[in-house]
Amino acid sequence: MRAELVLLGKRFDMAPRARRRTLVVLIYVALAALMAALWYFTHWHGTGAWVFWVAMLACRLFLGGYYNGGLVKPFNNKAPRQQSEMPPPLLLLKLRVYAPLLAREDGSFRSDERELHQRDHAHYQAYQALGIAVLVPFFLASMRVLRPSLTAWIPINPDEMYYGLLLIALLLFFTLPQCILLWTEPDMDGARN
Amino acid sequence: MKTEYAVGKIRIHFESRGRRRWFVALIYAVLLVYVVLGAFEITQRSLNGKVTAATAWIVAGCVILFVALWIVFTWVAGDQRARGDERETHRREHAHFRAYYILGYGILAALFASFFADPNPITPVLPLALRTFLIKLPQMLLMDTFFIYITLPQAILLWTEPDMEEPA
Repeated sequence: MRAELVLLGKRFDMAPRARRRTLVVLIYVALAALMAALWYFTHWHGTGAWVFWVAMLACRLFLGGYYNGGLVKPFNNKAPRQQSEMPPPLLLLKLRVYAPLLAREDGSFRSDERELHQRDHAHYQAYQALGIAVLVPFFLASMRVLRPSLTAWIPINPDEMYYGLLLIALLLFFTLPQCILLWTEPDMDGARN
Repeated sequence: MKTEYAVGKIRIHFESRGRRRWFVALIYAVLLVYVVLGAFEITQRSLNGKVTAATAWIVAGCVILFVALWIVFTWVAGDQRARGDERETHRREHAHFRAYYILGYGILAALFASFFADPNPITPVLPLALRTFLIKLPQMLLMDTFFIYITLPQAILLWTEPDMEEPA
């Protein structure tokens, strides 16, 4: 896991666990607020994909795991695909969101054995949570077919509720292992108290 | 992971990886038949309000067979929450890591399939049976994802664990 986050040209020290936990809380609050706002304005009709793209952006900029950017090293433990010698595009330079180019022999993307164990353990924990996130919409959809009267009291349209629960499950799928890692990793060396 | 399953005096040995792989293939073959017939049954029920007796019997048979195999399956794979030795724990967690992505693709597929349940330009031009199937597809995919959730980490463990030594 990296101890520093580079965002818009500024460096943020993420070695203290408290800061990483704050980041995790902020990301989930932002995603929840986005989902609530989209439901309020559009009932997620045609805008559900935005949640997906925002989750991808959160992974790219803050969380990592699936991308070279972010705090958590790539889960696949492989070198980044883009190893071009070309400088970053002008737009990224202006926005200062480019990541430094890593040479293939530079092992900073590679996890050591301890990190691989942590990665697997985080996925093990996330798997249980994701299972519950699958069970809830499955249970509600089954209830709707078998006993419609039991779900009639819920004030949201069943199709929208089902879609929203699947969106939540998808968000958890993309973010939960990284967030577990960021939440549980203790203060790193050099963390300010 | 356990190496044998005993029902009365019958003992089924699972030390050999080949046998474990056949067992995993069998359970997923039963599941596949159930999923295909289940999709057919749900579509038929939605269209006609009833299903043929043959379909209902085959689906019920698949469910019974799957549950019976699943009991053996979970017994052989062992308790996924138990604290084993370090190697066992690491193998179990790595199996969950590999299964995690397939579970996620199931959720993604169910989410994309919910496009057909909403008003859209594709389903109105399709035949009634296919349209009914597509409307029910998200629920079917979610059910399949649930089956993946309860079986896949154990299946990966049984599939990848090398041959074990037979007890003396």
